[in-house]
Amino acid sequence: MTVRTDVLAEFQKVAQEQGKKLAPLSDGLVLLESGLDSLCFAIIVARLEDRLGVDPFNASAQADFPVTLGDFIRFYENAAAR
Amino acid sequence: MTSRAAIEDLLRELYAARLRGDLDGMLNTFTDDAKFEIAGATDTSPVTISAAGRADIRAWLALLIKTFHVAQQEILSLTIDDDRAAVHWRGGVRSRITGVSMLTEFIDVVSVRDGRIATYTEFFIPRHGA
Repeated sequence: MTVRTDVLAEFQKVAQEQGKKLAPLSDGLVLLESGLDSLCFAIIVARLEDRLGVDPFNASAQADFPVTLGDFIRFYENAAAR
Repeated sequence: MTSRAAIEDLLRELYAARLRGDLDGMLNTFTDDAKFEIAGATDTSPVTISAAGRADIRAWLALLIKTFHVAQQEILSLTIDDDRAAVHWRGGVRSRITGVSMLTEFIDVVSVRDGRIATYTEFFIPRHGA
C-alpha cells in the first residue's frame, strides 16, 4: 500500500460508513465538493494517523490547507517522507 | 435532584472546557453511562454523532476538540427546568484540516443526574463564514 492508496481507501470507507455520495476521486477534486463533510475529514485524518503514524495538520502555526484531493495526498506524502 | 445553580455551574464548566480544548474537563461533566448525540447539517449533508458511555464519548470529544477549534464562544440563553436544561450558544468554529471557519449556532439539550450530564443532545447549524 502507498500513502495514496491508503488515503483513497479511507475516503471511500468513510463515505460509505457515513452514507455520503462520494464524487469521483481525482487529484483535481475540490475537497469541499467531494461529498464529504468536515466530520468525515476529521474521521479520515484520525484513521490515517493511526495507520500512517503522521498527522500533517498538527502544526500549531499551520498556514496552508489542502484545497484538492491531490493537495491532501501530498500533505500526507510529505509528512510521511520526513 | 441537582440544584438549579449546580446545573448552571456544570454547564458553564462544560463550555469553558470546550473553549480550552480540555478533554478531561469536558468528560468529567458526564455520568459514566451518559448518552451523547450531535445532529446538524452542513451545506451538503446531515451530520450525526451518537455515543453511549464515557469511553465512546471520550473518543468523539477527542476527535471534535482536535479538529474543530471554537473561538468567540457566546452563550445566548440558558434555560433550566428541574433536571433538564437547554443552552443556545454560538461560536466561530474552524476546521484545522480545511481551514474553513464558520460562525455556528448551537442548541444543546441536556438532562442531569447526580450532578453530572446524563444525556446530551446538540443541534447545530452553520450561519456564515466567521
